[in-house]
Amino acid sequence: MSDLLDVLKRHPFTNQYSGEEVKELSQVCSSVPFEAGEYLLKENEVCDRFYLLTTGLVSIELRMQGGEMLRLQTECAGATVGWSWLFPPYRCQFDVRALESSKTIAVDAPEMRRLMAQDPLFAYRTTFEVLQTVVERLSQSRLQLLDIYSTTESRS
Amino acid sequence: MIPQLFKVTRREQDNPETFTLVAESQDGAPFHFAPGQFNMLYVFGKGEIPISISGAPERSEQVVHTVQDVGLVSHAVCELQPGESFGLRGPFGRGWPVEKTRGRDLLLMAGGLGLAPLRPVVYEVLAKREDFGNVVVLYGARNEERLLFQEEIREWRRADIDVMVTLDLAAPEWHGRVGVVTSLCRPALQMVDLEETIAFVCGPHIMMRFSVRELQKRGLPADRIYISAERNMKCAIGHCGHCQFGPKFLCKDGPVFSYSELQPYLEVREL
Repeated sequence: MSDLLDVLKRHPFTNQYSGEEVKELSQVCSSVPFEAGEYLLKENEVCDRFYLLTTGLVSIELRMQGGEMLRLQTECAGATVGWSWLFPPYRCQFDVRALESSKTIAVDAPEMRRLMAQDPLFAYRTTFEVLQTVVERLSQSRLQLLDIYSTTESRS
Repeated sequence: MIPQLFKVTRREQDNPETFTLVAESQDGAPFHFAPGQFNMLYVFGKGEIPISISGAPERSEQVVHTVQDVGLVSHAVCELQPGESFGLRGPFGRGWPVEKTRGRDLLLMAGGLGLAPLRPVVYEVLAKREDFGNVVVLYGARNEERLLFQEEIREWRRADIDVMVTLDLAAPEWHGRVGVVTSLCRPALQMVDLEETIAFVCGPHIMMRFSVRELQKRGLPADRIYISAERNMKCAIGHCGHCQFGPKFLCKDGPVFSYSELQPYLEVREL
């Protein structure tokens, strides 16, 4: 448990938490490794956990009609994957799959929501961290949509 | 101001729209330049365009340009074949402050063709690797087909340069990173000493704007971030005013500036 606590303390997700809050969080966490190709989350499944990545690389994907896969973004160590656990109906929006051997800390989502309901300050800090991730990904997605490297790029 | 004659000795296609041309002076004179400087290339009967130099500074027997085929003149440059001649004026402008980075960590952030003007910096690092701290290259491209210098990137990695590549659009068989180049800032800045790092950023204007913002958000001050600005260079010696940006002439005062130098003018929407 102390190893898990150390890893949690170093992860950016806990930047806003007090020492006590990190300990509290550690009670609802477990270390979960993934091999390349294994799914962390699957689209439309109940999102009963989210992951703090500590090593490796994972891909956020969308399965298209006919089975073709569209890779939207990748995330590496230090990232938080999954936010659908925080908002009803608590279902995953996309697939998340390990592209290489990856270590994660899995957080039990129902337990996390219970802790948040008991402690508004903990809930605020958690929501703040999740929203930071949402804002970052939204901003990156908008840039991706701009197609900034199309043939109108400046250096030519 | 008078173009010198150069002859193409090698032409390589980097991707469907981008070509690298290696050329030599017809009078055999050596060509010296600093990383980040540019030349004015003149194709007879077509016109003249500014192109950054993408070769190694120590290879003074040749000059290398990487050009994307996007307009009349750039198309004519890309069509030049080995043995054919063109006019060259240069080198012009102020390049990357490589000397300032010796003994420190260096972050090179490139988007699309922006890797070409940064490549001479990598060559400088490779020439004396022990003079530099951690060197990290962040490179974003539209898709795998558009990636530049792939074989060289493998060599850079073998020479103790960390290179992180990301694609905006990836096919299922791509097993690397996907997302905009700014998404690499977080992991990259964990690999360097933030207090000792200097960043060089080059790419499309929007890419540079958001990259600088991301670097600043993560603690890198504006005076340690350098960008390569480019706009309508014509005379290349600060006389015609085509590239004027506020009080600066980008061709003569730049194209490389510290972000703190340009920031006041970049924030004026009308400029």
